Amino acid sequence: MIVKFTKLSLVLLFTLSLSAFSQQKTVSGKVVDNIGAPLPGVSVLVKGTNTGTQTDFDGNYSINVSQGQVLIFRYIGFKTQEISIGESNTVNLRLEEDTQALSEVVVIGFGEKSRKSLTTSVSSAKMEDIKGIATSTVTGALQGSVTGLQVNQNSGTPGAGFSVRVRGSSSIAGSNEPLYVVDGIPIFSGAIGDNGFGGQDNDVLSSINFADVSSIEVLKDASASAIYGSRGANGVVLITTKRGKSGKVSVEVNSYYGFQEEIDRYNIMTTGEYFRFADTALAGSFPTIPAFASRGAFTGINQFAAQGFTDPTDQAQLEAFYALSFGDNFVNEIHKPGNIEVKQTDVSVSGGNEKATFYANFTDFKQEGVIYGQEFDRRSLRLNVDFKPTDKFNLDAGISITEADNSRINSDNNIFGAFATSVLETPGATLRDELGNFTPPTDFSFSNPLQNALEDDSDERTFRVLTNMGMRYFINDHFNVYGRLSLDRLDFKSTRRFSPNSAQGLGANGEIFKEILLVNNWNGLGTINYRQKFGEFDVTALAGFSFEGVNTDQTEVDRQNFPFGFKSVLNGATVIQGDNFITENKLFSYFGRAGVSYKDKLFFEGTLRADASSRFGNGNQTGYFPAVSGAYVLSEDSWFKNNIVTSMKTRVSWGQTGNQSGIGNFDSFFLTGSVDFAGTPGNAIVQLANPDLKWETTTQTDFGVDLTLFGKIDITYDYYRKDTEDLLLNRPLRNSSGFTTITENVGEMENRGHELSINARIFEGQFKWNSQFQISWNSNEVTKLTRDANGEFIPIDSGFASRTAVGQALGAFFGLKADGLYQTLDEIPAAVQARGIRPGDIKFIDINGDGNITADDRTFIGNPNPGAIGNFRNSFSWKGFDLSANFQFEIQKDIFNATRQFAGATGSAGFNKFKSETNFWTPTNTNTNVPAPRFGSAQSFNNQDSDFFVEEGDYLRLKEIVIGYTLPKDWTGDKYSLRVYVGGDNLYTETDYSGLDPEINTFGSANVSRGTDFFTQGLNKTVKIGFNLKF
Amino acid sequence: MKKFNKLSLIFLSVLVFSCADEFVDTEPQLNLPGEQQITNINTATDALNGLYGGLQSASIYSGDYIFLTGLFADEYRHSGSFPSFAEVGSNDPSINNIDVQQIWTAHYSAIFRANRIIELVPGLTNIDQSDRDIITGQALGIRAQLYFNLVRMYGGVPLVTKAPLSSSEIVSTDAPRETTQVIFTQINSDLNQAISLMNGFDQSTYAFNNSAAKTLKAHVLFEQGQYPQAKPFIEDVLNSGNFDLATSYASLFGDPANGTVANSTETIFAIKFTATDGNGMGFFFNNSRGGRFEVAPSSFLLSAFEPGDQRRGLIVPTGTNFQIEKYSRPGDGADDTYVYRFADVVLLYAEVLARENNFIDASFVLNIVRQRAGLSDVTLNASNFIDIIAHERFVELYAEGSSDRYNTTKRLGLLDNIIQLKPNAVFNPVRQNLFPIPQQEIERNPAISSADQNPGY
Repeated sequence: MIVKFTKLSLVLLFTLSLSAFSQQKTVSGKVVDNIGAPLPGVSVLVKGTNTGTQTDFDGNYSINVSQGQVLIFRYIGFKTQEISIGESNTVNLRLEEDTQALSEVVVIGFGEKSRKSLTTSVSSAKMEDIKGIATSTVTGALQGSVTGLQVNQNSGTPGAGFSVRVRGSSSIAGSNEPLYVVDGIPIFSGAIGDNGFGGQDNDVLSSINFADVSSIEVLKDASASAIYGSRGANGVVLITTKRGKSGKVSVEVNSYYGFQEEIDRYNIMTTGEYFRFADTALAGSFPTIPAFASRGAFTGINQFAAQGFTDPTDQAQLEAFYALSFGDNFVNEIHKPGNIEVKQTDVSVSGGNEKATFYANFTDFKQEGVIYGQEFDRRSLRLNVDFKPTDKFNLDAGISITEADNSRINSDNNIFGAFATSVLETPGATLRDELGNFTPPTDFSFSNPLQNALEDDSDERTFRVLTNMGMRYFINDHFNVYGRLSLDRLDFKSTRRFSPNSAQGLGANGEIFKEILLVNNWNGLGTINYRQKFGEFDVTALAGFSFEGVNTDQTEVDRQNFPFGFKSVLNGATVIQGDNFITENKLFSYFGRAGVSYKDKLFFEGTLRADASSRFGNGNQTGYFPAVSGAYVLSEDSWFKNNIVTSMKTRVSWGQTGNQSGIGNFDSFFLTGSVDFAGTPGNAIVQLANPDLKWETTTQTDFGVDLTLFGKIDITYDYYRKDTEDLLLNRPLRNSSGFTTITENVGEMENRGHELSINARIFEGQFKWNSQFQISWNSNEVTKLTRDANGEFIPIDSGFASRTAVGQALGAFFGLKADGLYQTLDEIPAAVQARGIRPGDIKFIDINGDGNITADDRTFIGNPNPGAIGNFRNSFSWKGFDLSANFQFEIQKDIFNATRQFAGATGSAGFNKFKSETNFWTPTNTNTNVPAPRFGSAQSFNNQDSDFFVEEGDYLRLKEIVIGYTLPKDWTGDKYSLRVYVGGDNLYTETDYSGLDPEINTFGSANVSRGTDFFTQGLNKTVKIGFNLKF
Repeated sequence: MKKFNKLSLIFLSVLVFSCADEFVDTEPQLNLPGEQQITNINTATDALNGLYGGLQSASIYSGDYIFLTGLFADEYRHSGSFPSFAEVGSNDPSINNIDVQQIWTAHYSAIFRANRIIELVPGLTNIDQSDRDIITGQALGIRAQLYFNLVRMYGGVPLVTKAPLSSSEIVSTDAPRETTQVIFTQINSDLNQAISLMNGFDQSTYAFNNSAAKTLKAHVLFEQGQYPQAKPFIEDVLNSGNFDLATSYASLFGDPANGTVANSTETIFAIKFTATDGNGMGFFFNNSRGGRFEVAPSSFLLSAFEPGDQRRGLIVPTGTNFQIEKYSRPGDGADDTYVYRFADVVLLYAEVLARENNFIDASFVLNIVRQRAGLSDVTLNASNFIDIIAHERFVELYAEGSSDRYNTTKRLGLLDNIIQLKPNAVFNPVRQNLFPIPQQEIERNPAISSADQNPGY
């Protein structure tokens, strides 16, 4: 009997224990980060099964699991943890940040990778660092944030264009700007419009809302950008916009308000100082007419007499006249007084659940310019949604609508613009009379600068819709297919008005020019993605196709001769222009990428893209762009493990990319054009067939090392060689053929450089200090151009003094060499003296020793491409306070200060001059570098292009400094998070450059005439206050 | 299920692969394909209008061809600022002179357009024979005129009678300087063909019609010294009944309101210009009339007129200078440019008669032109006829599209003396009063080297 009972109880016991093992229970808990904040969206998986869930907005999860099983907690950027399930039904967890740089996730073309597995050179711009910058265009915030990326704002006018270079320039005729991709869609970028209103560009990127951006990656080497094929040669900037996360709906409001002031303003002579200068200049050529300028040589107005003086030979009277300062300071008058504001407010709402998430944003940005009539504002709306209706099917969609208004004046880079004329006009007049009316433009040489700024204007409105929709279908665990369609639609309208009273409009009795440019850029893509692990090998592959088209429809109308007060084109009595242009181009591509990794430490990848473009000639319809790369993470090997170098990876890559931007849409076609003969229509052949026309090819090799020292200092170093060939250039044809040139792929250029980025997490506890130093060097050389009949390379001249020649950097400066001033007559060679040159004139060097200064004495005198660029950024945080400062620098670069050829002592004496020129050379004031004032051929002699105008453009600038305070949770409660901050942009600039700003480019993004300054507005410094509110 | 997926994938990729080529086919919207330039009567007519448009070039009948030849002779003096004009005014154009180069290039550009028509129109069966002949005839006549201008200015030049379709064709075709005989052979062949094709086509002052071709033929024969052979052509034009001298010289040259409109019976061939498609004759005028005053009448021209010569009336004082006002609308260039007028042919006739020693008839004919100008008669004889005819042509045809002063004085052997009389002019007899072959052509044309440059340059 006892035996029976024991058997039974044994069986019972056994059964009980069995069920204890197999019985599922619900385990729940909360996952937080290392400072205790809840982590939503953490993956919680039961190891060895398909069961899993995610934490909610408060970091809570709940899952069915059996005791003894293991839960895996995984979250991007944090160290994965595995917890065995014991008796307890609650498992709370604190995840540690995985601060190893290699765990960062990086967006690449058509996908994402962890930085560890990246075999190519891709830099990420950290959004926390750059999102506060008060700029109208997203590229402005990228300055001083990524190695190898040179960003310059071309002008200080609001909405001005930027020129961006990734690892130097590699094209002469095409664009050197990188390809911009927003959410996987290559968008229409660059300057548009046919303004002709001063020299500022209309940069279409100003219609991308910066507040929507969640990450920016720059694909720098060929291997990374080869997947963009014939458009990847200049690098690719991948912009990803924000998307919702599942959880409670969260709202974020960010706002800032800033006060701007120009960094520097031109300082011009007073009226008396100017007349002393001009009289001295004319005295040499008109010795019998004393005080000729003061008595009206240039303006016809005898200011000397008007101020009550009688005897121009009386030195005392002259001195008294020269001491006067009457009339307006034109430069000051055109600048707006008071607050020049810049402000932005953006509100975003995001949220969702496991099946659907959304992100919506509205942003309003406004920036005034420092001169009357300048303003840029933009309003934008975005909605991004993601649906996951089933496990196998995802849908993503987004739409963004932007309207940007840019008011500009006739200004930059233009001698008839308000900016230039305010400096150059002869002083002495007032801009308005006693009744407040404008002094008429006929009293001025170019225009009444204030009237110019207030009455002539150009209003530009850009309306842009970027929309896309994609679907992903998971065939199984290894394969998924993705398809997407998108549209980038840009409507650009510009109305330029010359008032009937202003200098520009007077002759025509008013002129209104209106342009309407409609751009439709649509594309679609389909990819199939594969991933599978085979033991220790992890294979990923991608194959796909894409098709794209850009249609442009441009209408220009222009009328003159308006009845008083009418402001619409329609009202003009004289038709000047009524034109419409339509053009299009298309691209069809196949691409594929395959990568394999071994034991998560050895990585290989290859890509191939084939592009067929409507622009390429029939002989070259398809281009092929291959790339291979590999990386080895040494620190994964056990023999490597040490405490100093805690992680190390070496990379090597090689690839070929193309640039088709230099080819017009129909450049390879045999074309007949319309030609009119005195009002009768006619036709004629206007273009010969050019079937060999093709893209420019860049072959790039990159060696890189990423290492981390002491677990705290991340260092990335890259060395690259970029060789570009098949550069598009005009090849001359014999004139007797009926055509003079044809475009051919003949040129070659090379870029060599290094990039170094050091990021140190010096302190990571309660007090955080992060320091970043980045520097990149690039050296550029043109190696081949078209040849003339003697086999010599033909140099290309452009801009003021820029020359592109073999053996020199692109757009190097070319001119005479100067060596101070002549002090005595004996120093001056006879042939030069015969031309009227005297002591006080510039001593040019006679390079060819022929006794005279001629065009043959010219040589290369400067290089506008910086030898090195970089930044130095420090961020601190402690108990809710945060402080960050970023210094940005460019060194070893030259600027050709063409403004001094007008407003400097060697410019025509009819123009006013900079204050610095009062220290001009005279026989009694010889210790100066300012040449003597001259007129006629001696003045033209001194004013020749030479290194007298070439200055060092090196600069160090405090790009941004911000102090912020996040209110403690005790005050705001758990629900709200509020940070307030105060900061400044461009507050401090250290440079030897005498002009307004060493960063600007008069010719915008033009390739071959960079580094020239001709009356271009400089940037502004801004002091701003703002807040970030989240709830 | 798996099989179905595989099949649809293959199907999709095949579909996708076949789309690529068609997809990137684009059609230019602003232009027609070159192959469609000349395919029917409409396009052939358009191409012909395009050829006339080519003659409107600033470097041909809109200005430079007229200015530079006149500056080289004693027709104008340089009163402006262009260094290139200054060089020609002192008879020392550099081989790099930009305007000398542009005249060359513009002529060849127009020759290209003529070549297209001559090559393609005769083969179009969808056009009436007579229309084809008239279009082709005009193109041939214009091509002859263009080569005639070139050979007189530059000497032997490349003979291009085929329009290349691609740059590789240009590069692979040899284009050396031909001798003047070869060029004249081509000119004569083109003209003979033009005259026969355009038999009876004399309408329209703006078309290079049968009479224009015959007038040109006469000039060509004169240039070659074949005066008796020229006579029938001159007589054809004189007797055609389509032309006559206008009653007043001044009426030929319009007024500021309407500009010069070549619609009188005197016009044999003129180039049409309008307000939106104007010429460059503003160079004759000073700023108050919207001009540049780059080119002014020379002292030789001013003193060439006899007292009472009404033709002097088209030169008008302006401040301390004089300006030629045969073109009335310098602001927008809406004046037609005469190339051949009836008076030109009358003077040719006078010369041809004089050369066959028929001085009575020669004088009679010459005096018709003089009477129109309000002058008394002169009598020609063996020793004076060359000078008198040269003088009469000078005062009748100055500042017009035929560039007559340079061409006639060169033909008559008078230009050497004329240049030596000009102050500040460089006389280099070796140059034979030719312009230099543009240096750019020499550099870009492998068949022409510096050794082939005209002597003296």
